[in-house]
Amino acid sequence: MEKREPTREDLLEKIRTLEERLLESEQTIQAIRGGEVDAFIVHEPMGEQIYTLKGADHGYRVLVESITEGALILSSDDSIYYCNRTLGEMLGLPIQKIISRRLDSYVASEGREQLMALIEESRRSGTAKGEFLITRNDGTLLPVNVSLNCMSFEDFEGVCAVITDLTEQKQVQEELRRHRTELEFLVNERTADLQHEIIERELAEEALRKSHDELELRVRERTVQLEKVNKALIVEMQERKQNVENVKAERQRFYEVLETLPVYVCLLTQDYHVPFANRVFRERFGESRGLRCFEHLFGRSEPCEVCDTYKVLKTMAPHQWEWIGPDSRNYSIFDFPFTDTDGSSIILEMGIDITERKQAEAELSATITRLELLNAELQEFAFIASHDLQEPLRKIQAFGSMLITRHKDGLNPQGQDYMGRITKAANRMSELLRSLLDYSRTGTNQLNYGPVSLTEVAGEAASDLEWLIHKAGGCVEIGELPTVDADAPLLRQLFQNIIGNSIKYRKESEQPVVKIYGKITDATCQVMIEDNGIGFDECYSQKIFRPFERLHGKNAPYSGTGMGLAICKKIVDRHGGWITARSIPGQGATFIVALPAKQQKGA
Amino acid sequence: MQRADSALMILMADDDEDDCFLVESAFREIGIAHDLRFVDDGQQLLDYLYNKGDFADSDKFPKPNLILLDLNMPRIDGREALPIIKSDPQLRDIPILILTTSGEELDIALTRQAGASSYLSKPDTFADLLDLLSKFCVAILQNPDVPFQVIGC
Repeated sequence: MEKREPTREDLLEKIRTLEERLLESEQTIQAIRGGEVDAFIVHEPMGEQIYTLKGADHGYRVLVESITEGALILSSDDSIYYCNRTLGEMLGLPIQKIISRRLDSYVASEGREQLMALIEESRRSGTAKGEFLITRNDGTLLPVNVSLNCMSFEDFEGVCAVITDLTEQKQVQEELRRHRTELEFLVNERTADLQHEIIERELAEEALRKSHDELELRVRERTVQLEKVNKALIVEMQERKQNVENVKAERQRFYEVLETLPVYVCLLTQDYHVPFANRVFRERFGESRGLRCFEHLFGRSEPCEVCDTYKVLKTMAPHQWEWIGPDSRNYSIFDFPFTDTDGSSIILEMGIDITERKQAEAELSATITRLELLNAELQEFAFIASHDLQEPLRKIQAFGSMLITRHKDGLNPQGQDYMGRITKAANRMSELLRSLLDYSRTGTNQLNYGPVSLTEVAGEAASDLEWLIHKAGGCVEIGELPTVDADAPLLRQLFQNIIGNSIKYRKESEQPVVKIYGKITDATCQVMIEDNGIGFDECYSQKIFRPFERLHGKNAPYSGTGMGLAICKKIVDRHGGWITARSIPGQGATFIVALPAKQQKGA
Repeated sequence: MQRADSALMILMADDDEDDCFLVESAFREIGIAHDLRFVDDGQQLLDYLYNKGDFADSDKFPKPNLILLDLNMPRIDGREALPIIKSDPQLRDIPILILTTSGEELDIALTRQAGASSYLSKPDTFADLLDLLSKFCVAILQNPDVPFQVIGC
């Protein structure tokens, strides 16, 4: 055979053959490992060789091959006698490259010495453990635990080692460590936070406690203040309550007053309602029950034409008038403008029952009229009587005097005496009638008032009586007298009568002196006419002023009708004054005339 | 107003017969031959003066030289008759003496104002009457303008 270059086909054939053999080998190894075979044939250049597996224990081999730890057996020279597939995977080498090599060659250099010491220890004591880093085929380091057991069977002295991949464990440990670190960090961080928080809380608590204390203090202070205020409030409340009570009592009292008044009192609104009516109103007219006054009182549908009440709202001034109520009684009404509690203008009305008074007034008025009529008739009668009686009397006097003077011879002395008595009686009667006429005229004549100087009037009266005074040898002293409102002729008559009276009742033993003086007290003027005459008993001081009253008999030397002082009294009465006399018998008399200085208008 | 040919004529108006009698007696006693005539009231007085009714004949009833006038009379009294006479130009010159029982101030004032010559109150005695008439009538007949006087009130 010639040596030739192998062709492609030859090469391909060779590769195919080699592949078949590889496959066959692998299958064999697989079978061995799996315990399927106890022996195999290996094709070697010197022929096929059968390899048996000594002590092949099928179960153990399966176990060793299937565990996830690397397993190996070190021979006595410390080379690897056997290893399982897992170790191969750990180292990234085929088993063939591992077997027979020294274990320490796979350990990182710094751990080799330690490994050797560990192996030595396991040979001595049976077991040893240690952690190492092994260098994988790709150069990376793998942490492992190496657990060594000394073993010997038959004549084989070796060490069995189990290599446990610690990568995961380390990773877990690292992870754990990392977690732990993280946790510690977190814990530290959290602790710091918490401590911070605690400090803050403590500060806050402190602040809170302080503020609580402050608050408590303030609360105590405030409580004290509040208690004070409360006490004051209680006192004030009591006072207010008292005030309210007082006001209520006052109100009640005022109400009682209104209720007790014997007059009716009511309030009237602008729209004719009666918001208040007192007892008298209610008793007399009943409750108005929301009705308007004219509806309530008179059953009318519109205000009464004769009512004056509402004029008050126009004039805003009090008004008084008379009204006949629905009870047909007379009332004197007083209306006042009144401001209600809400500020509105209403009317306060008060009604006084004047029915009795009106009746009394009417009766009085009727009586006065009757009396005036009677008085007028009496005056008329006095006048007519005195006047008309004068006529026939005058004839008696005239023919009597004719009989005496012209026909004296036809009468005997007795007849002449009778005739004389007749004439004397007629004269006396004539005198009485004249004074009665004077008296009656004094009462009826119209008075003409004017300022009258009493000094002048007294002087005129004295001069009227000049002859009489002269004849009596007397005198009249007139002092300064006031001027009064009076009827001059009547006052002249007054002074004439009093002066004449004083002269007439003079003492025979003494020259008559009449002193006239006066004074004004307040609105009254007093005139004193003082004489030194015979005087009189003061028990007659009233009687002497009555008509026809005489203190001396007809046969006394003092002639007169007894009408002089009665006329004086009438004159003074008509002027609204008074007259009186003071006297002690034998010691003269003083007549006191009081006259108003001014006469009331219309008097 | 004197008439030479005959006696003076005086007309008295008074319803009181006694007074007329007394005045007539007084005139007779005084001795002056007067023609004294009487009427009973104011109406008759006016009829006489105006020659009416019973007094139509002016020759028989000539104007008097003096009138004595009472105030209180029936129908027309002296108070009414006086102003009528005194407001008539034909009659106003006849002097009128008031001879009355009234002493009223008002009567005195009104008659004075109306034009009476004097106001005489009828006296109580015949002697006073004689005195009064002889004094006043003669004086007024001689001179009607004597001042107004009030006597006896």
